[in-house]
Amino acid sequence: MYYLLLVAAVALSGWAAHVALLQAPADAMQGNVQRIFYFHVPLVWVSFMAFIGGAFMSIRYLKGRNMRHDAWARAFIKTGWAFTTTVLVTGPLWAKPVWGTFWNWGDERLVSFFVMWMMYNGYILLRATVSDFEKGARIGAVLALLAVMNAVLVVAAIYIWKTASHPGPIFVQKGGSGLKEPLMKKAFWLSFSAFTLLFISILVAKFRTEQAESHTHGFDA
Amino acid sequence: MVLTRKVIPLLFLTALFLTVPMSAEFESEALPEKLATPVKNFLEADTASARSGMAAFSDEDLQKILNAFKKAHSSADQRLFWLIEESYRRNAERVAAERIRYLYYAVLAALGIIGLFAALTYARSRKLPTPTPSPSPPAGRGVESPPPYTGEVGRGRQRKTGKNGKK
Repeated sequence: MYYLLLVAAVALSGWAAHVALLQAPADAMQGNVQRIFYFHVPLVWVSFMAFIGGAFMSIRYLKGRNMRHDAWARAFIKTGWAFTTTVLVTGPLWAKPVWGTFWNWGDERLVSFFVMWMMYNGYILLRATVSDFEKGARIGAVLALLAVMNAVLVVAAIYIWKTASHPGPIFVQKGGSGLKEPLMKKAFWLSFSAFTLLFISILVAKFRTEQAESHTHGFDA
Repeated sequence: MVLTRKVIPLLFLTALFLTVPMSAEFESEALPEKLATPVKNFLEADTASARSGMAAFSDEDLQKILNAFKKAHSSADQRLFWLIEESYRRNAERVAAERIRYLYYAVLAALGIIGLFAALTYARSRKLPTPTPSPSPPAGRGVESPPPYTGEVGRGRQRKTGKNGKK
């Protein structure tokens, strides 16, 4: 079943890429490099969805100590980690031609996002290194909850600190700016749906492998 | 007399040199009425307002303004305009090429990372046997002693108990 999901996700991604790269007009100020947003923003959305899912499953695990919830939490977080890494690569590739630099350590949103990524790296390392699987699950669940609190900070950063360089939400910017061109909106929503579907298809496959890993440690997930 | 002979040509030449730039002065009134006022305001505005005001002109307006400006200049100046335009064109091409290059890297990176992660995940999940209900529970602490039914649903595994069976 999840193979069908993958095929659908790849087909939708192809359509989204066609509209985003070839059909949508180039941005008047930024030129073609603005098209990175059609990938970058949906990737951020998927990352947050993954970490919220991971935190939710971690809470359920802490409440019921059911290894199935832990397997879901691991699947959510590991898949989310791959998408977050992509965000951290595509963001600087947009920033270089527009800001003149790949990274700005003075920007609170960038730094808080990087800290969040490091926390999820910590989660993955922890799960791989703690020999007591159940103990790892317990500590990992707490770490997932701490990391998702940081995710809230990432979202709020542009409002709390009025960040220096990172742009605000693309649909609700001041002065009426943001995506207005119908083809640009189409490209964005297609890309958004494609990445969401791609995430779900990978997540389901990842859950199967995590389930198997729990099984190898002697737990029925 | 000698002084007059020297001064008159000097005055004549000075007047000539002054009239040449004056004749080349761009008059916004030469433009269509609709454009004359915005261009006049643009020329008189301070640097910051002028820079931000540029976006207000449409492509067609810009072409009309440029044509009117060029007409007010000599053919030698026209050649200089060509050079300026060529310089801007090359710059714009360079910037556009650089931006396309970064877009290309970003797309490759996104495809590479997610593609690799998906491929590894799917390769691992393909190797897994199709789950079938096992006749006996798998070995492990989690299932050795199934919790007694307490009437609660979804509580998961029973917590560890002490030697005498108390928590």
